[in-house]
Amino acid sequence: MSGSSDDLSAGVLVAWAAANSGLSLGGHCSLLDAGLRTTLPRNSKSDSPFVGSGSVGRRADPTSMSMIDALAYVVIALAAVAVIWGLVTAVINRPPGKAQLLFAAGLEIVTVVQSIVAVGKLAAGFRPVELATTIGYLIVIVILIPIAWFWANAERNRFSGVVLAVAALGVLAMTLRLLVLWTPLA
Amino acid sequence: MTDVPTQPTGSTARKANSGAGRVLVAVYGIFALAATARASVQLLTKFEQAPLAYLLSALAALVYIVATITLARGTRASRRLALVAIIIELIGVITVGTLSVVDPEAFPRATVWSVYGIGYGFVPLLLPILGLAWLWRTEPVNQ
Repeated sequence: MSGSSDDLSAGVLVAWAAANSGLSLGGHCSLLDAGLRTTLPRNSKSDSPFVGSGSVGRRADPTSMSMIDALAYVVIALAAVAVIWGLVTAVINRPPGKAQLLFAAGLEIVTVVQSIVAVGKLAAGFRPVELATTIGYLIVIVILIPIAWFWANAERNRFSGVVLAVAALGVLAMTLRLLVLWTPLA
Repeated sequence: MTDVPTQPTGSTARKANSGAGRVLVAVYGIFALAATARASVQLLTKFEQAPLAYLLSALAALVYIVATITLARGTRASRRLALVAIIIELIGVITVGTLSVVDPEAFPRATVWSVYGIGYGFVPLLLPILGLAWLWRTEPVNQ
């Protein structure tokens, strides 16, 4: 792993902690994920016997990815807040209020920007290791919040907040996964 | 049908697509999307590398889609379909999970169900159990 990405590996480590706690939706290869969980903090190369391709976790050229990284961290932070907010309103037995719904909309906007910027980079010639998987993520991640928004508002009660939390957790997990996937093809 | 107001929780009549059931649908929905995207990528770009595993991925995606839609609809007919889908899901995750542990060679590429869904925090194992429990709990009394 290149030296300048220590903070990233810390971030990803947090990610993996989150994943371990229950919601990694991201794995394109779960055994690989399992292998990485133990090896990631230091290294980067996939040495799992179960996979033949896709070295994940190596970040060769940090400068070209800073925009993506920054956006991803914003998405992760906002999504984390949305998750907690949704759970809090569930605990106090209230449907999501206007501020909470607007916050979810804000999260959606940043998520869309993230996908647009990433697709722009792909169009400009950037090639991650897993191109098809990356494109799949960039598409799916933007439809989670809108669907959850509709589903949460169709029946408003404490569970509406949990529905938003679930979707935000999905966005969070997928963004963590995208950060790892966003590795240049060697 | 007679309503059974066992608890004064307010809005939750005992319907599969109401109350906590909506959270279940949301989780199923995310798995449907994730599994579909994953299976599509696998089938379209590298099917020949591991046909069995990738077909299982596609089956998992289909099961999640059916379970999501039928749980969300919550009618009597769709509950029956949901039951079938969730039972297939449970059998799938246990079978594939066990096979992938016992004979990793047979599953060189992971599916969502490999090692009981370890890559997804074991949610794939938990989900069908919660799904069955929820269908049980919301079952109409007078059927």
